[in-house]
Amino acid sequence: MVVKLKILLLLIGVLLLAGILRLWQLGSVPPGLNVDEVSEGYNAYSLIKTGKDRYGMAIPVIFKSFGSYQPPIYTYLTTIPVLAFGPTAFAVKIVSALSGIAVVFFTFLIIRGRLGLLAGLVLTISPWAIFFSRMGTEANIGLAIFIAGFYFLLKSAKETAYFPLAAFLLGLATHAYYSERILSILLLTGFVLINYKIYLKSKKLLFIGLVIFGLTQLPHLAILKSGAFTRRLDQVTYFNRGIPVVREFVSQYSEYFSPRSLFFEPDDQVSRSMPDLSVFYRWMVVPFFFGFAYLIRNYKDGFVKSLFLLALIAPIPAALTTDPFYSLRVFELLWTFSIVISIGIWVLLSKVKQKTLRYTIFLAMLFISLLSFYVNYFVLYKFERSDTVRFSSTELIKITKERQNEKFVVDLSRDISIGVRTALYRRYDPALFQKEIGEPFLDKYYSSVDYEKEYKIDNVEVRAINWKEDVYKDQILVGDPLAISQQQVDEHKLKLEFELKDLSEEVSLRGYSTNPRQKCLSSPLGSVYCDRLQ
Amino acid sequence: MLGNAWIWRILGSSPFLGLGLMVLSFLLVFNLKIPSLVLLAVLGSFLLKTTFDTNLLYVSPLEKDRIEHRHEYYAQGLGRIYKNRIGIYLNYSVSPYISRYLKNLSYNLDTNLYFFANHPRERAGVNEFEKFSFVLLPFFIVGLIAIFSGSFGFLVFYFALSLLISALAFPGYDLGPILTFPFIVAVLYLGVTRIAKKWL
Repeated sequence: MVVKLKILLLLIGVLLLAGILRLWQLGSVPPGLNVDEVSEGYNAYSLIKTGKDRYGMAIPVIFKSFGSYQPPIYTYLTTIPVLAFGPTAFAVKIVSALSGIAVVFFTFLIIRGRLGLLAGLVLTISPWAIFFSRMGTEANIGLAIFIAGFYFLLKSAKETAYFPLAAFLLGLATHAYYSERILSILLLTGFVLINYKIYLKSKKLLFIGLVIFGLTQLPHLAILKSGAFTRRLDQVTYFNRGIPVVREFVSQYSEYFSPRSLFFEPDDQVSRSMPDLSVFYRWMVVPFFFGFAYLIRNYKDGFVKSLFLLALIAPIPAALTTDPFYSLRVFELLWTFSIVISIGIWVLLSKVKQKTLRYTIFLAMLFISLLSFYVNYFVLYKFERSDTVRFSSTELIKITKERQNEKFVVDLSRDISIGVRTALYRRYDPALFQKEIGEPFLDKYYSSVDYEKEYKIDNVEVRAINWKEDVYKDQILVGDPLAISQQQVDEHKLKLEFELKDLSEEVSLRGYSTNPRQKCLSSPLGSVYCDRLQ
Repeated sequence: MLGNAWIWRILGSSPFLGLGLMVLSFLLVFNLKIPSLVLLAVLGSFLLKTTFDTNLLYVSPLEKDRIEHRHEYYAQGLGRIYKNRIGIYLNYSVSPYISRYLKNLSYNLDTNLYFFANHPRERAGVNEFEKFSFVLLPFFIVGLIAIFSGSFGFLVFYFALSLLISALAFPGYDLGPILTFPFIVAVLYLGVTRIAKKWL
C-alpha cells in the first residue's frame, strides 16, 4: 500500500514535470508558427465560425493544405482550444502538448511499477518528445492514440475483451498521421499472429475487433481514388525514380537504428530539429546498448516480443520515403527506443550497489539532460531557428494591423503560408476567406493539390510583387532581401519604411513605401498609371 | 575478410596497414587480447601520424563567428549562469573542440557508413564508398545480436577503443575508419557461424 502510494506520488511528479516541459512558454517559444500549424489553426478557426474549412469544405476527411493534405484529427481537436482561447499560438499547439503528456501516462500504464516510472521519466525529458510536443504536429496526437491502442492491445493478450477497443484506437490513429496508416495494420496483424493461440480462443471478439478496425478505414476508402489519400506518399517516396528500390529501402531503414542519427546529429530538417541536439541526449547511447542487450537476453518475454515487433515495423513507413532520418515519421520507433534506454538505465543503475551513489548519478544525469535541453531549445533553437517559424512574418502582421490606413503588398516567394498566417493572426472572417480565396479550389478539393497564390486580407495583399504596376501605386511593398534588391529600390524610388529581423539579428523582411510621382518623373517611358496621376 | 571492397582499397593504398588489419581481424576472432591491443596501438599510431585531424585543434572563421553569436544568445538566454568565467570558457575553449570530436566519433558509429557508402546521410566533401556489400548486413546483425546476448566483452572493448582513436583521425580520410575493420570482420564471422550452426 505504501509502495503504491509512493509510486502514485512519483507518477504525479513525472506528469507534472512533463507538463512543465511541454507547457511552459508554449505560446512564445518557439516564437511563431510553422506552415502546418498555421494551416491547422486557421482551419480550426474556420470550422468554429462556419462549420467548414478555409476552402469551404464541410467536415473534410483530410484537410487540403499548401500543395498537400493534413490528416484531420489534430485540426478537429484544435477547434476546442481555439474556441476557448481564440486563434493563438498556444491554442494551436496545446493539443500536441497534451498528447505528449498522455504518452507519458500511457507509457507508465504499459510498463508499470518503478521501471514504468523511469520509462515515463525518460520520455518526459527526451529531446524529441518535448520538442515535438511543443509543436502543433499531427504526428504527436497520432503517437498518443497509437500508444493508447498499443496499451489496450497488450491488455487484450490477457483479457481479449479489450481487443475491439485496441482495434478502434489503432484504426483511429490512421486518421491522425500518415505513418500510422501502415503501422496500425502491421502491428495489429503482427500482434495477432504472435498471440494467435490466445485470440483463437475468442474468435468472436477477434472478429468484432477486426470489423471495428475495418469500419474506421471507411473514410480512407471514400477518398481512395481521389488522389488525396496517396498524395503525400507520392510526394515523398523514391518509387518510380529509377533507383534500386531494395537497397534504398534497406539503407533508409537501417539509418533509423544508427547511433549517429539517434544520439549525435540532429535531423537534417532545420525546422524539425534543435541545433546540436539529436533526438536523444548523447549520454543515452550507453543505456541504449545495455537496454538492447537486456531485451535480447529476455526475448521470450511477451512484452519484449511486442516491443521488438514495434521496433521492427516502426521505421517501415519512413523507410519508404527519400528523406534521410525524418524523425517526425518515426515517433513509434523513438518511443520504443525510449523504453529501451530506460531499461538500460535500470540495468546500469542496478549495478551501483550504494544507494546514495545511485541516486546521485541518477539526479546528476537528470539535471544535465534538462540543462542541455534548456540551452539547446530555449536559447539556441529560439534564437537560431526563429526563421523556421517565421518570427518576422508575425511581426509584420502586427505592423499591418497598426497601420490600417496603408496598403501593403507582401511577397510570398519564401513563405507560402503568409496569407493564411495573416488571416489567422488578424482573425479574418473565414466566411469571407472561403468566398474570396477558397471557393475556386473547392470543386477539386481532393483531386487537385493546386492552392491559392494570392490573398487579399483587409489592407494586405499577399502575392508576388508586380514591378510593372505596384510601383505606380501608393502602397508599401514588403519582401525579403531576395524579393526586393537594392537595385530595384533605387530604380523604383522606394523608401525604406521598416526592417524586420529574426531573433538571430538577420534581416528577413524589409518594407518600402512606393513613390509613384517620383517614379513617373524618372521613368522615360511612363506608364498608364502615370497618366492617371496627372 | 577478403570479400569486401574495403580491404582491397586499403591493401592497394598501404600493404602494411592492410596486412596489419587482416592479422588484427584474426586476433580478434580468436579473442587474443594482448596481441590485439598491441597491434591496435601500432596501427593506431601509424594512422594518427599520417591522418590526425588537425581541425580538432583549430577553429575556423565561420565557427568563430558562430561562437560569437552564441555568446550573445547565451548571455541573453542564460544570464548569470553563462556570464561567468566557466560559462564563457566552455563556449569559447571547450565546446568547439568537444563537438568536433563527437561529430567524428558519430560518423564511425553509423552502420550505413560501412554498408551503404553513408547513404542517405552522405557528408559533403567526403568521398564515400561502400566498404562491405549490403547483402552482408543480415550477418552483421546476427553477429551483433550474438554480442549482445553473449559474453564478448573484449570485442566491445576493442570496438570502443578503435572508435575513440578513429575519431582523432581526419573524417574525410580516403580509406575510412580503418581501425573498425577488424571489429566488423569479427562480427560478420560471428554472424556467419551462428547462422551456419543453426541451419547447417
